[in-house]
Amino acid sequence: MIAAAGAAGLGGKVALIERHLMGGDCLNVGCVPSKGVISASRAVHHARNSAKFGVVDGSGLRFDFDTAMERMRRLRADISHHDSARRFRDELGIDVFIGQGSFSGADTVEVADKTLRFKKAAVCAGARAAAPPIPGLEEAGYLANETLFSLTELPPRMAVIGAGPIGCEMAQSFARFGSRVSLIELGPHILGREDGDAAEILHRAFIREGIELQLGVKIIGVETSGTDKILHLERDGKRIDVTVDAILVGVGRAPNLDGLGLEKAGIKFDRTGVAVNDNLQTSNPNVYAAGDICFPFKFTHTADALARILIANALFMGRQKASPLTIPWCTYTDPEIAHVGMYEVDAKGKGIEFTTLTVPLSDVDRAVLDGESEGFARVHLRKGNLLLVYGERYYSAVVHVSKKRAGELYTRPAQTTQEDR
Amino acid sequence: MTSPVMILPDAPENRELEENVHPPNWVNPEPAPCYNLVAIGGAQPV
Repeated sequence: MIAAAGAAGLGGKVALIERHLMGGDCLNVGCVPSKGVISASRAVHHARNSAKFGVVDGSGLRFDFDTAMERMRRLRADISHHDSARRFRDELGIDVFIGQGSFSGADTVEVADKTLRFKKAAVCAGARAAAPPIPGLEEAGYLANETLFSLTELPPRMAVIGAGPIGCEMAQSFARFGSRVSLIELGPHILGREDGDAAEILHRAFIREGIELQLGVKIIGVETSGTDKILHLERDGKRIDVTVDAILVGVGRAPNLDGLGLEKAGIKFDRTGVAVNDNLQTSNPNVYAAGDICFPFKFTHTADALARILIANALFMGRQKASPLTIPWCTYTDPEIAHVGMYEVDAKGKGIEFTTLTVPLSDVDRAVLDGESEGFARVHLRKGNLLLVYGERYYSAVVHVSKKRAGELYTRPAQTTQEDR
Repeated sequence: MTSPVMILPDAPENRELEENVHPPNWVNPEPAPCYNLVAIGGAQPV
């Protein structure tokens, strides 16, 4: 979408093909609805925990799932005009085709019985939730991000498979709504890629909030009994059964390669996605790719940055590269965990000598008075480099922040961080 | 003309969303002779 809008804005004749929903995952089943759910869960959590601030609700607190979900749907609909097919057609002058786009040759795409000839093409078909090969899961039925936000009733008991960012965000949200949540992870920790101290803080928060953590387990299978879904787990040879009403799967993303006819255009791909060089060019020199379908960091803001590189390279013979991008990300749990730059383990793996600066929030008066003293800000600084905090530049630094609004706090360091590559 | 895609639940706000992101009565245009760029995938710009 950004590739099409950018190219059209520069005067090009552009066609945009979408087989399902304009706006993609982000608007319809990703960032946008998840933030609606998370904001509702924070509201109810704060309401329940405000007595220490003198807030007393004598009538008793009740959470209404239907109202929260309706609010999310309403706000999603309200902002959807930005991504609407009519706006792209009428305001941006783009030919919008709704249907499955499929390459039929090196310079042609078929959509809805029409043939589109192109000088350049951009494959930005995104990704979808990956389905783990667990015996009985398909038969039992499960939720993924494509279906979670359509719920109209709160599952009393919920299993979340995968303690990555999506799994953690939704496990905490649904626990705060009132579901009895079991968070199931094959690895020994939640958020296994994140800074261990930050993940530990979140681990303790999950325990406090009553989330059952099943870590380091193998999922043997899923069995159905009436409306119950029974997950058979195994840890250290010991069998554990978890019975729930709904299962949410959040174990990663798989590229949307099906139906694209990539082989007809000579575009190489594998199960991880479309193969591109550092200029985002595929094995067909006139076809480029951007976003989740070709890049390991599957974030909307990353796809946006890649699309801008794509436009420069595809339409203006640019030589911009994707590898210099510094990609920040944030997990929107409570506390949030924000990150930019190289992880400690990666720096050690590269033999980089560094110094670590950590500021616990318990040392920050504002955080203490806000009731957010559990958390920290951390910077790994390459030895020998000058740290100019007020001089606008952190060289070779990585920043972790664990705080309720870490996602806002780390934007300045993210703008000024350079990574070693 | 596009085939309908029902965004669940069937609620006024979801029908409004669908009207924007997958208009039920959308008619694809006649293609231009050649495009400078054909983009496959209409994900959201930030």
